Amino acid sequence: MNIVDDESTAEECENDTYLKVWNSIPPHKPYDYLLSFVSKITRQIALDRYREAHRQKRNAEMVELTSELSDIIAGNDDVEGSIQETNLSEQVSNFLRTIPSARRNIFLRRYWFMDSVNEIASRYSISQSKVKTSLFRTRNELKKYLEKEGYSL
Amino acid sequence: MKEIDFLEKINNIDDDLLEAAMEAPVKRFRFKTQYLAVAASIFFIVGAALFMQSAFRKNTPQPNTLIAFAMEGNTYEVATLKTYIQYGFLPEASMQRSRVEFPMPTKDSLGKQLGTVNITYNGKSVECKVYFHADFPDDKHVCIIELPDETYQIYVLVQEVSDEE
Repeated sequence: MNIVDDESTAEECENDTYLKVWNSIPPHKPYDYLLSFVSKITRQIALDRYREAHRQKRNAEMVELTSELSDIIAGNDDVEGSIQETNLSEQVSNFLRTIPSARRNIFLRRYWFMDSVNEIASRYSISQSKVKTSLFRTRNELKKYLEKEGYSL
Repeated sequence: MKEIDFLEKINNIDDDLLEAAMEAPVKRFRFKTQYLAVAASIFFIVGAALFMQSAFRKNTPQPNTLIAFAMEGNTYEVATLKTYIQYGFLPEASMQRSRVEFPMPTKDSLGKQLGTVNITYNGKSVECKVYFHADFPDDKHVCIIELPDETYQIYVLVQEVSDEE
């Protein structure tokens, strides 16, 4: 819902998720991390829907969220294909393990679960400015980390 | 790479990290600043009140706890209701009353000086003058002490040194 910004589309994503989970559970057997397994599928479906539906029009929350990421992304189209999805996820995971859990969770709530700053602030009972500061610091550190690891985004 | 691509490419973040971020945060008791300020104010006021009370006590004469004293071998005790009636300071009818106002002696009640006695007052040894009562100028059985707080108290002789001793 945070990604697609439309209830009916969110419901469609939910249905697609059930189908995809049904089809992929037998080989994957995600007994330990079922919730994150389902969340990943839902998120991917929602992002795909978002791409289809908002090629011209983008919702305000996603515009704000993606503009924050311009700190760490230079926008080079030619390197897009060179970075494997799993590799970047692995590097970001490794980076997230180096920072305190509080900042890590705020980062994931924002850029993985696509929560708004307000939602994160109320979730962790902190001010919005603290959330923004935490995100800013984490983005900068992530950029340095990825550059050190040889990534040019 | 576009920002949306980045969001897609981090889809496979480690499961344990995602599970941790999905967990309901533990509600910590946050001591809000305003409550802290109120608590500090109350603490300050109570502390100040206790300090002032303590200082006030130090500067206030302790109530007269001198029940008895000895002077020149004679023992005197603070005058009772019976003594007050006996010497006519109170009417006999006072004996039947549940509450009696004791008439305190004044400077005019003082006769000539009978002697001195050392008493402990506010933790210090203080010399107090003992006077005959002006109404009974030669009766050493009733006397008045001038206390350091400039109040007067009537005492009666309860045990006299015999002349043989």
